[in-house]
Amino acid sequence: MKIQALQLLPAQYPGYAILYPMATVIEVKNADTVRITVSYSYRGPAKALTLYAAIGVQAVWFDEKVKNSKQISLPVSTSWVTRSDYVDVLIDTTKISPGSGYDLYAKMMEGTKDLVISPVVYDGITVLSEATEFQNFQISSWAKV
Amino acid sequence: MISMQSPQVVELNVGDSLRLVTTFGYLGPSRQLTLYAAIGNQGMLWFDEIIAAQRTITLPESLGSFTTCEESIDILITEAISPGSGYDLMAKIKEYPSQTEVRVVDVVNVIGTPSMWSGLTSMMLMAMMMGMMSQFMPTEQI
Repeated sequence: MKIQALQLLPAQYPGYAILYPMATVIEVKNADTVRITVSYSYRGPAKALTLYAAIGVQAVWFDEKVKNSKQISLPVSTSWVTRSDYVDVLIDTTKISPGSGYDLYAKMMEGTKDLVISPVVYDGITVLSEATEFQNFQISSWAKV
Repeated sequence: MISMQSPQVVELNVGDSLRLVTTFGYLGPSRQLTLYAAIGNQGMLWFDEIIAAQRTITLPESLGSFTTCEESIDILITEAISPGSGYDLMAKIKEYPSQTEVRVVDVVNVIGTPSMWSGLTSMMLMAMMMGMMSQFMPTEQI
């Protein structure tokens, strides 16, 4: 299982999605959604599994800041079938502070048990600050009009 | 070598407008804010405003780095300000005064000569008075 694609669904442009090639950094802001698409191969009986993804910081363990999951149904398959699915993770700056270098990973779960975990994608997400700041405010000219 | 140049002094009459241009770097989401400017006197502790103006400005989204912005505002010179020299200017973003409030001192002179605007007002007053006086003038009876 691997993370195949990252898309940004900007909050201010509903209905639009921007697809980013892997190894580029996605810049997001509060209320944006990151669509994490994974690809994997499956064979076995029909199953209902949970696709789970998180954005955070990989240290000794993965410190999850924002996450989401959804149910997926896998049909019975006697041979390997390549599939892809996605999960949308909402950026909430009360949980993930503005900053760069956030990592992400995804996994497939059956109940509470992890079945398969993707490699971590490092430094893939930058959360932009929405604080308002001014710099060098000055009266540059004045004249009668 | 340090070179110093005294700021440009503007002479204004009642009815004129003074255009202030502000420049600044902006970081943040797209927002509508208020550019506020005043002519007055800079005191020891605060700025004593005599005439002020404000207008809504729209700042562009600028999240990764500072964007340089230029915004102007016009202040109409009214009779609220007395003829005199050495007036000061103040400008700020009203919602963020601590980050933005700036002053420039001794750059505005208001000259006493009435402008065309006040001249026009005087002419209208004189015409009205002449009209009123003509009602009391004796008319010739035939």
